[in-house]
Formats: sequence, structure tokens, C-alpha cells
Amino acid sequence: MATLKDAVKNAIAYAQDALGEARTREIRLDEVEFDNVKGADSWLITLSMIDPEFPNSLAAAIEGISGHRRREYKVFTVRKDTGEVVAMKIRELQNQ
Amino acid sequence: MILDALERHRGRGVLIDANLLVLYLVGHVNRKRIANFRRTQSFTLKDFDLLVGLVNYLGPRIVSTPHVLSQTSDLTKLNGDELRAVRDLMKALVEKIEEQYDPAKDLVSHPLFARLGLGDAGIATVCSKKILVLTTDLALWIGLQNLGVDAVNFNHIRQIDWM
Repeated sequence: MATLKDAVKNAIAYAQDALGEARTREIRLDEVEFDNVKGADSWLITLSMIDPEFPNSLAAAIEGISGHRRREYKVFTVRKDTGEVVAMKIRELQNQ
Repeated sequence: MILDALERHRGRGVLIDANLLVLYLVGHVNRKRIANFRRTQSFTLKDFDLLVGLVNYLGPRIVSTPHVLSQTSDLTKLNGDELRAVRDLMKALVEKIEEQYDPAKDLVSHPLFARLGLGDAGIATVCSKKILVLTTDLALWIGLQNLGVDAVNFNHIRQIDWM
């Protein structure tokens, strides 16, 4: 049985492996939900990273000055029984 | 930025969102229940200790809304003696909490209502009066940030020794 801490670590490792270093800069834990997914107790872990598509624009510069940088959000489904990451999906959030 | 917000609001009042209030109550009834009660399985014992520390730091003033309290009551359905204990604890807490609210007919015009619902619109309205929101709800946290309401995402604090 995985712990929540294991699950978050596995989700981060999965993200780094799947997305690479450039797309997982300043990775951050944003939300954890617990649910039954396809018959298995699972954590739905939302991580965010600095959006690499948003580095050189005026808007990015303004956001940088204000301390806010645009992030992309992904939700990882991690099974509680094994700690395995079974899904990674984009999470759309309005007005981020 | 998180530390700034916590320091700025120390002693001035905090609104604890329902998921965290559930953790606060269940953990006080039985710390061991956190790991296997469905509504607290997104938290650890250390999270509970961290939450208690934060509430003590930000208190003693705790603000809430009827929507948050109703959700909390619905989400703390333990069994047997633990149900009685959690209800007693919630009763004691509610008697100390400063309850604030706006009529639903006003909240449905709030910009957060369409996306996040009545409860979150209620939190945004109450906390626009310089009250810090402590939440684990990402969509609510982003919505509050966009409105200029001070809010701390508890996940951003608890992750510090996980990453």
C-alpha cells in the first residue's frame, strides 16, 4: 500500500520522465483528491509547472515582475494499492 | 509570498475551507482515523499537525460561512462514538466561530458563482473583507487570487518536505 507522500513522489518522477526537464521547471503540488477510479482507490494529484510556451512575451515579462508566472496544470491518477501512476491528463483551469 | 500572507493575517482572522475543517475535526477526534477515513485520505498526520499549527498561528479568530459549515458537517460522518465526538467538537467550534454570510440572491451574481458554485462565491464575498482563506481547492484558490482575495493553498505549504 502506497503512502500519499510516495504517490506524490511517483507523480513528480512520472512527470519529469514523460515531459522532460524543460517542461517540469519549478514543479509544485497544487491539489490532491481521493477517489475510486475504475474500481481502484486512487489519488488524483494535480501538479503544476512553469509554462515553457510562455517565456518571451511582454505578458510573461509583466507576470515575472509581479511574481506570477503562467503555469500549466496536469492531474496524475495514482493507485493507492501499488503507487503506480496510471494516467496523466491536462487540467484546464479558467483565468489562471 | 505565503509567509507574507500568513504574517499579514496573523491574529486577524482565517476562513478554513471545508476539506481542511474536516481534517481538523477528524484529526482531533482520532489522529489514526485520518489515514482511513475517506474524506481525509488526501492528508497525512503531519498535515494535521501543520494545520493545527497554522490555525493556532492565525487565530484565535476563525471565520466561516453557513455553506462551509454545512459541507463540513456532511463530510464528517464518522461512526458510533466517533460520530458523537466529532459532532460535539463541531458544536464547540461553531460556538466560537464568527459566522458571516450574504444572501444567496446576492451570491448568485458573484463572478465565481457560475464556475464554482454558491459556497465558493460565499467564501469570496466574506473574505473580500481582509480575511485570509486557507484552502486545498485549486480552482477556488486561483479564483480568489484573481479577485485579489488573500488565500493560501495548503498544498503549497505541506509539499515543502515532500519534494
